[in-house]
Amino acid sequence: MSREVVLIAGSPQPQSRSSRVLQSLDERLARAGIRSKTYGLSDFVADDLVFARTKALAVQQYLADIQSASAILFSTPVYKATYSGGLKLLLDLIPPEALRGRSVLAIATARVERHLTGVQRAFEELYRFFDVGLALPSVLLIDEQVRLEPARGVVYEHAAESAIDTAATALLHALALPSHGADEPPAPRA
Amino acid sequence: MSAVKTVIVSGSASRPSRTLILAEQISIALSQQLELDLHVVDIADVGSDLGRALTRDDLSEAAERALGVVESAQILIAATPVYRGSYTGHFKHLFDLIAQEALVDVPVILAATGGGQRHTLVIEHQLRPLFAFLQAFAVPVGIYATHTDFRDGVLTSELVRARVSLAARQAAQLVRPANSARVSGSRAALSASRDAPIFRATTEHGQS
Repeated sequence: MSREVVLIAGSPQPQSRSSRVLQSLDERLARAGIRSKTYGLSDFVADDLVFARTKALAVQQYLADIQSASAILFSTPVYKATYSGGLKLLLDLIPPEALRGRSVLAIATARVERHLTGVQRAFEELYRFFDVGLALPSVLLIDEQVRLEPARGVVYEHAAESAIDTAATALLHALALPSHGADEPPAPRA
Repeated sequence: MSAVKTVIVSGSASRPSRTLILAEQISIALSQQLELDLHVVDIADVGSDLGRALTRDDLSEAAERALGVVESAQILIAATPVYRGSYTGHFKHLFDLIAQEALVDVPVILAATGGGQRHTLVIEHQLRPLFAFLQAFAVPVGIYATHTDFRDGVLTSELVRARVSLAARQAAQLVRPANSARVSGSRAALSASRDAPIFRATTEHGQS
């Protein structure tokens, strides 16, 4: 069975804010019956990432899931005003043509708001490189909108909650588009 | 001035590496202007250790030493191959682990190697903003080279070699003596105020 959505968590910390937001979005997709698979840095041996060992089993599974997905989601903390090196390591494994025509959606969390414009611009450059199909609006949140509480887990500010809801709705619409998805071979580049 | 601590960061995990050859060519051009104390931080060597470290505290001794070398550079040569239209994940991961204030005022030469002319602007659009964030003095001339600029492991393109010389001259002009009061003052001021706005005139803080 093919996966409809692949989620890529770019934070080195699995319980980070950006990973939690990705997870919350995934929960909304699951409620709508969408199959998904999440990958993070801890799913790979470090050297497979460093030396881009595409023959490694974990990497092959990752690439096969991406190949059969209609939409790719990724999340990152903002480090040095852009996406993390960890996310870039996971994206470096993806062949340049593998995201062509796919829907994509990015999530970023930053300490301060002005760094979110930098990461958004960096996402757009990645989208151009990968020649994606539908670039859905990013979910860009500042840390204080996403509180991590030991007892209750993640607590969102109202605006953050609705940003995640809006993203989930947009994604479900994108997935429902006719002839959208991995069954259609991507058009060759002109 | 005593020998200038010059550090190459090469973001390539492959050997041989055109990125490393280009970076070394830049260091040779610099050595015609200044006496260098040259260090090389090569992802092919430290990449595995860095990749295993999610935070600075997780670093192996060798990787921590490598980051310390980068943070104490008087001139930095930051060179990366172009992967997916940008610097490599390892290159970014290394700089993610670098202290935010460590490269303030440090002259940096930006260099990249890519598969074709369509990635020429990677220096302006990807590398320069990163070093602007770090408040380093990235020199105006960036150096981009493709595989056709090399022959038998040597940088042969006259055009690229001319840019290497130009960038080296620009960086040499910006070197400050090690432990200069102004540099260490501004770095200390920045680290003391990590939660304060980052983008401010650092020289004023250097006086405090």
